[in-house]
Amino acid sequence: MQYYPYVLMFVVFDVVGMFLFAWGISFRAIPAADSLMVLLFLILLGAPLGFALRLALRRENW
Amino acid sequence: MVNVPTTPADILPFIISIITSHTFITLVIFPGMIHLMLASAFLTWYERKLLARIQLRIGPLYAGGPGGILQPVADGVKLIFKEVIIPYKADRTLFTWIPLVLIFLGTLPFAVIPFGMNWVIANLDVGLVFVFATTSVFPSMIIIFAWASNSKYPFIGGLRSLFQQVAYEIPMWISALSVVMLAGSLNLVDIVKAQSKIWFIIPAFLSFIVFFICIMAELERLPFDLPEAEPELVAGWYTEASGAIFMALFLALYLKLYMMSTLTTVLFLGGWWGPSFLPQPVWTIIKTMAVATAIIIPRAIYPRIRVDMLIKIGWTRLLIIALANVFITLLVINSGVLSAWGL
Repeated sequence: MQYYPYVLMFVVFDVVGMFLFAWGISFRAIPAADSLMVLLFLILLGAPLGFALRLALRRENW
Repeated sequence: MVNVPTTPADILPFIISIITSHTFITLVIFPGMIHLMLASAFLTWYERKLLARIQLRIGPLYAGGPGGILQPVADGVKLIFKEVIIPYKADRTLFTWIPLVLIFLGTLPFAVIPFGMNWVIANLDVGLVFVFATTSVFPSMIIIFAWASNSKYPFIGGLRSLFQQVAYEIPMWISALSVVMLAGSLNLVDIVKAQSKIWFIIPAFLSFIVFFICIMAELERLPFDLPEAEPELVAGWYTEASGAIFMALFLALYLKLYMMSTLTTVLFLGGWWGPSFLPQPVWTIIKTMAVATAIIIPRAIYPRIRVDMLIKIGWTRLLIIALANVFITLLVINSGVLSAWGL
């Protein structure tokens, strides 16, 4: 995999991981609608993930 | 509370009170330093013996005790007295000190990993984050050591190690998120307490699979041992290590193997929970050894995969499965299926 998609994915998901942990320990205490926002956030993350994977899966990039 | 001695006659009772204190015992004896040194030495012997049995060999036999169990001691003595060769133009300071830093990083997570209800050195509220934070420093230290060796093979091995550990770190974290959601805590003692009725491997089985694959990659174990691929890179990032430096690196690697096995036990296999005829720490150690066995056995079975396959699996399969598993865990918890077990 080339350097650019690699770094992009690492930075995005490394930071997101920590946010998700904060949500994970408290999601029982917060209203369901608030959890919905987090799930929406996760779905939105699919955009950079899809972009990075599209770059990464090109044969010439490996 | 230990009283500071004011007269010479108080010194001996003072020393005895320190040695018999719970803090001293957990820090120095169990689950602290002595236990960790013995466990990592035992794991080196255990791996050699297990692989030998699988390959219909005898393995270590002659170095004292039954089954050559003192082989790690013999290896240690040999390596201490061997000459340490530092490559030409290598960075002497980093080359000498990084192995010690790696040992420190390998032991540090045990400060928060519980072996029993009261068998934990520091009951930290963010214990899981602490463990992940310390393990995430490993790849940096490995690439620094590889660079300090001033040799091509270690450097290529170090780069591979860095890429591999970075690729598998994030799926590992996100798979552990299911455990955090089920337990509602980052405290490892609380996570084990939450498994008193049901081990998290059952409701979070997919997380366990992802986590297990990720720790195999983090530990550079077959089929993910590309950073030390012998036919290509001699011995990978520690090709230039010799004597005591080699011993220190191996100690650090086996400490990491023990640490990851214990962490898997704590997160998914109920930690210290088990029938009461054995003490809690014994159950933790038995489960840890079972996980370590599962990590070691593929070394005798599977071939090594290609580097592009390795990175692709991490980013395009495990990460997506781990993220999807967050949704699945949320659905499982909200559906009330686990309410019978208090989750």
